[in-house]
Amino acid sequence: MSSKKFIFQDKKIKIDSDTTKILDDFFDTIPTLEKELEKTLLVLFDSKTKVFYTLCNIKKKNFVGLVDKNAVIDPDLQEDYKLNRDLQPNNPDFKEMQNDASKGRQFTDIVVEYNKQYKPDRPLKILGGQHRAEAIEQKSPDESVHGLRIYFNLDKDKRAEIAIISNTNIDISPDLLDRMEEQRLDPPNKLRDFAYAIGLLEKGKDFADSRVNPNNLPTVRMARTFIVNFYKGREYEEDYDSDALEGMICSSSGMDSDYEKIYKIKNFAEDEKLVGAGKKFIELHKKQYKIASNREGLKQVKAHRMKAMAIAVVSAWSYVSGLLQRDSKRLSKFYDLPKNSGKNDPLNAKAMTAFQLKGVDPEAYRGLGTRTDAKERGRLITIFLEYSKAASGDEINPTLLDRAVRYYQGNKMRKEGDKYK
Amino acid sequence: MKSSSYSLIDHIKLLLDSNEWYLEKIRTKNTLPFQEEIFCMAVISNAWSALEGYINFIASLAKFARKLESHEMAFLEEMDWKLNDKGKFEKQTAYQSTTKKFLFLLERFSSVKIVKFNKSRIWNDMKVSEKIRNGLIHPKETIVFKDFNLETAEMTHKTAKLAILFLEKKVLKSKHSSFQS
Repeated sequence: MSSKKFIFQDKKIKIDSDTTKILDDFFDTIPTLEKELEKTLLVLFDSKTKVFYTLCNIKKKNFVGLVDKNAVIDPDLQEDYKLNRDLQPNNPDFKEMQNDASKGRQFTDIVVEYNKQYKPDRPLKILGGQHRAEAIEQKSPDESVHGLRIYFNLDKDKRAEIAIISNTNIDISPDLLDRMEEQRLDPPNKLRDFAYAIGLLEKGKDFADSRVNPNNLPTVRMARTFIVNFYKGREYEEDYDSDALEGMICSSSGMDSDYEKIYKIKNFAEDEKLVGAGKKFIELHKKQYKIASNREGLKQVKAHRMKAMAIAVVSAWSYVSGLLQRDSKRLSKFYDLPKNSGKNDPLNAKAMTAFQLKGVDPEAYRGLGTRTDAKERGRLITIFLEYSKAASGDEINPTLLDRAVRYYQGNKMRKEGDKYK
Repeated sequence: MKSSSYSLIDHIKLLLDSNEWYLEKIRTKNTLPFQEEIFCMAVISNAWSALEGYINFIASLAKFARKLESHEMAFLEEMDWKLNDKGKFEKQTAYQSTTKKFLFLLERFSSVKIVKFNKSRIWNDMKVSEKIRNGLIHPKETIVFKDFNLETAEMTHKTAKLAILFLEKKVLKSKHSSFQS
């Protein structure tokens, strides 16, 4: 092998003759960018798996004819059973990859084995990065350059090990992605400042990186959901008692488009009504938490303590606080729920959990506020609207829950009919 | 609320389940003399009761809708406005046929086009089943006993169940069914 082709990470590492032949063949056959530029390739050695590999780059126009996306672990005995999962053409991440590729994104670290034992006309066997390879093939410009990590002379065990390590990702929580994305926004800190202003976060603390966390810190998604629903409720101009309103929950794993629009035009911490609603919500949560933490029959269940923080409850509560901005009497009663409920938990978590509308809810239904779908949010909105009426009494009780859910169901059915009249 | 109380939905399920039991007995000839006809009558009666019960259940939810016209609300409450002998309108009980109630619920609370529905097989079977059921519940001198056989019992049961599932899907828009395991 010519010394111009390769240099090794460490001269002391011995390389067998088979691998040397394969390396030579790779250099002679594959039109890498390094070869085009007459650069020497660095050959590295992975001491764990005991394999040689190199990092190189290749133009899309050269890559497409040589790549095999249906690599197999065991070409000798199981050539028909491919290593990679099926391509997911509708996966949003793959679509984004395609979009990026069309704009000239140069992908890196696609894990490949150089192997001519099977399908020799396509010796670049993809062990990790099949979606990137597909995106390159479909969308990248011909002259774009992509980075490969090429392994040589793998046996079945080594190949499996490399494939596994190349496809192992530690899951990133969608809440962390939300938090990262929030930090990208300009001007910065609007959400955090709002959270400080209402007491959702202690000064100096940040949102949680995961919904389930030991300190019960709120997530970015929760705070965004509160804000978006407040404004949506405030903008609604029709007769809210006759509708079957459902509010929304901000999408996760990055940015929510409704929230981003509001972010651009509102300064949350300076909106008196929004901050007022936020403070009242925190009052509700604190009372719920306190009562449900100490009372027998409630304290055993964390969901009872955190009932106000359930995302469907957050969504519905803030939506109703937005709706009732135009009715100060009902708003006042709604805001006074923590006070009016006296010694009881304001949301009556037990009654909510026990609720089931037979014939409508599935057997597996676990009560109000446990799901996040539109129906659940709509029911909760109607419950809070019903409560805000002077005639509804001071507490949320089973009768009110049943009546409100039936109002929601009836209005929802009528609305469906109205659409087709 | 979740409770051990016997709900209307439980009752409808019981009626439909007992029909399955009767039909199985008849199909397997596991009956005493005269029982076959009695079981068929039970199936027809139960099937229609189940359908009527389910219609009443849907109506009980629909009554909570706002913005309904007064005549629509009166219909759901099985009432009608009539002039009394003092010259004033007052609400009076006015029973409606099951098929009329069914059509109203579909027309007012779903996206189903009634003109199209009226040409469907299920609607045709409902009309036939209603006639058989009326012959059983309101017997007249001209009652035709040959109507109460396995074929008509199966058809009435199947039709009632399909009509219930149709309402559940089109009006409640349920993703799951309370009547199918």
